Amino acid sequence: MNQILVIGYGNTLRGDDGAGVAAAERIARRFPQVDVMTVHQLQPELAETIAWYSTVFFVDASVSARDIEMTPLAHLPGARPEGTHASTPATLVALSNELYGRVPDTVFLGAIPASSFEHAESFSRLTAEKVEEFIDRFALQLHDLRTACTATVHE
Amino acid sequence: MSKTITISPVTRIEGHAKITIQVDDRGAVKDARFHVNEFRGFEKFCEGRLMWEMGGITSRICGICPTSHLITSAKAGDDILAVAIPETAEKLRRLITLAQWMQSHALSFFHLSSPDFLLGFDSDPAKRNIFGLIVADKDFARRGIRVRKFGQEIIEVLGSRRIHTPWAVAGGVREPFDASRKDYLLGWIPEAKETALLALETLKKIHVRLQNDIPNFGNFRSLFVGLVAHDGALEYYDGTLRVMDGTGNIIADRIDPRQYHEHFGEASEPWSYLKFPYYKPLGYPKGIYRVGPLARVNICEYIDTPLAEAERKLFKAIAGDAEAVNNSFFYHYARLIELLFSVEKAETLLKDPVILGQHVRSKAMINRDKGVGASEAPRGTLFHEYQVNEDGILQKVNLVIATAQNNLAMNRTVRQLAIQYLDGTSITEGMLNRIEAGIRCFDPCLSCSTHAIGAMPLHVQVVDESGLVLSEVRR
Repeated sequence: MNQILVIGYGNTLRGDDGAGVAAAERIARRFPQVDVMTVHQLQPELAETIAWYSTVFFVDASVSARDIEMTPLAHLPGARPEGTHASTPATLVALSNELYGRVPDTVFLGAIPASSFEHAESFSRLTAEKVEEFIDRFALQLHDLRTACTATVHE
Repeated sequence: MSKTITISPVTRIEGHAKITIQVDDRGAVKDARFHVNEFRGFEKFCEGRLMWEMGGITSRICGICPTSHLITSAKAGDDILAVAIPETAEKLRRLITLAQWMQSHALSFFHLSSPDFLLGFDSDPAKRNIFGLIVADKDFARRGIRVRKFGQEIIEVLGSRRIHTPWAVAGGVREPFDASRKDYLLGWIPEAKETALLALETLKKIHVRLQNDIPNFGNFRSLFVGLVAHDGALEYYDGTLRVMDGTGNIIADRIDPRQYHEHFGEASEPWSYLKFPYYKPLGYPKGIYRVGPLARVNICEYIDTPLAEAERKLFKAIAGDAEAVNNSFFYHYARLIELLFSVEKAETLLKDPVILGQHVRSKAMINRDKGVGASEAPRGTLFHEYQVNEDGILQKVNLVIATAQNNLAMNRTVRQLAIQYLDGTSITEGMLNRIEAGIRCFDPCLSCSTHAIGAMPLHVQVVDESGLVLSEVRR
């Protein structure tokens, strides 16, 4: 098992909603040292899965993001479920903490700008560009993580 | 002046819906409606695609029961090819269908409904969720996640991918079972069985604790519809359709699922995107029927696993002379009986050497221009009907979803709960919680076709006939 997990989620039949899945699939091809999962939506058993990784990236389409975002998730023990079959990254991290007593050291929320959710298997022009851009951003983040990790070891 | 109370969206169900309750000047409930506001539109989307693609497409309708769509789609494909699939393929399809029941039923009970039951309908809504459940009983919550994970593990082992696996195809399945994983999956059985039994014991205590509430949870006579095996056993993958009335009489039996449209119609109402299926001989809306766990456990004559069969007998005792359990609250009981059954039956299948066979697919050309597939999804009978041209290109698609078949019953449940718990126009947490819990008995899956749209706050409005908002609550 690798130390880094990427979870891309969304519906690949609803246009831009599948951006997170597309990005995760590209990451899987380019970065074999990273474990990748793609899911339609986040579900509670993932809490157990993520608990064993040091770093987890959740990658999703976002209607509010204007550009690619890669935001560290502050661990909030008080995070609460939003009330549907689907979970959120914050809920899963909180579940990991409360059920298994451990959480990833670092969790990133990757957001790809999205605007079109009609039935389609293709992306809007902007989202298509941002999916590709996201991979480069992920590579940079991965590099930073490795650098930080090396620095820690040297200390 | 009549008023309308709106609950929108309803929480802890899948998809987007709202409830409106119309009351007269004296506060008496005039009507109650369960609206579904999202249009799915997958049927149109599928036209013009190749029949072979349908498994992959339709399994992406839903993030909760993709395997049910996959299997039903493959069965419609079998019908178009006019082939009998290999025995190994059928048993593997059965195994993955049971896995779908496990994970879906576990989610419904442990995550969505248990917080209401174990923490109380009137407890703080901020705490009445899975986290509150963890505080109350961490082991119980963890077990719920584990048994759900077991279902997902089976799906992953069989289909390589947990969600939207294209593993089942017209004519069978793509790949044989990986024998090296058999013992791994069998290793989960004792824990899963123990958890299902624990959940049943817990639910029985809940029945005692909620004995004053339960009689109001969609307690009415309706028809029950589902597949049964040829010998009358509980069925989940194949069989023929049976229709039972609310007194336990079988009024139609051995209906070929291919002929479902001759027996069941679909009405529409202007206030909901969800169709209203009904039993044609009784007309609309008298032909109200229920599908899913409550219907399946009611209509079957026995369950062919020992522990679940023992529970079925206790379940049927609730009905007394009626010989059909009519109270929708007992969906939960039936769901847990099915959870236990699915674990027991999965064990049987995993120990069956036939599942290790290598011949898993029958190949053929397009031999019929129409095909119907039917199976029992966690929420009830699911039909896929495809019309194709000689090249297998889809000309027409009709998907009859289990949740839609419960639409009339869900509306009636909401009305009954509103009558019982609504006090004038004052909106209490307890009243809202019970109405929502009434809907959750059916565990509806309205639309999870996109997850990015829409937050899910609880929004309640009291509106007069002119549309003026008289009072409003947001949770």
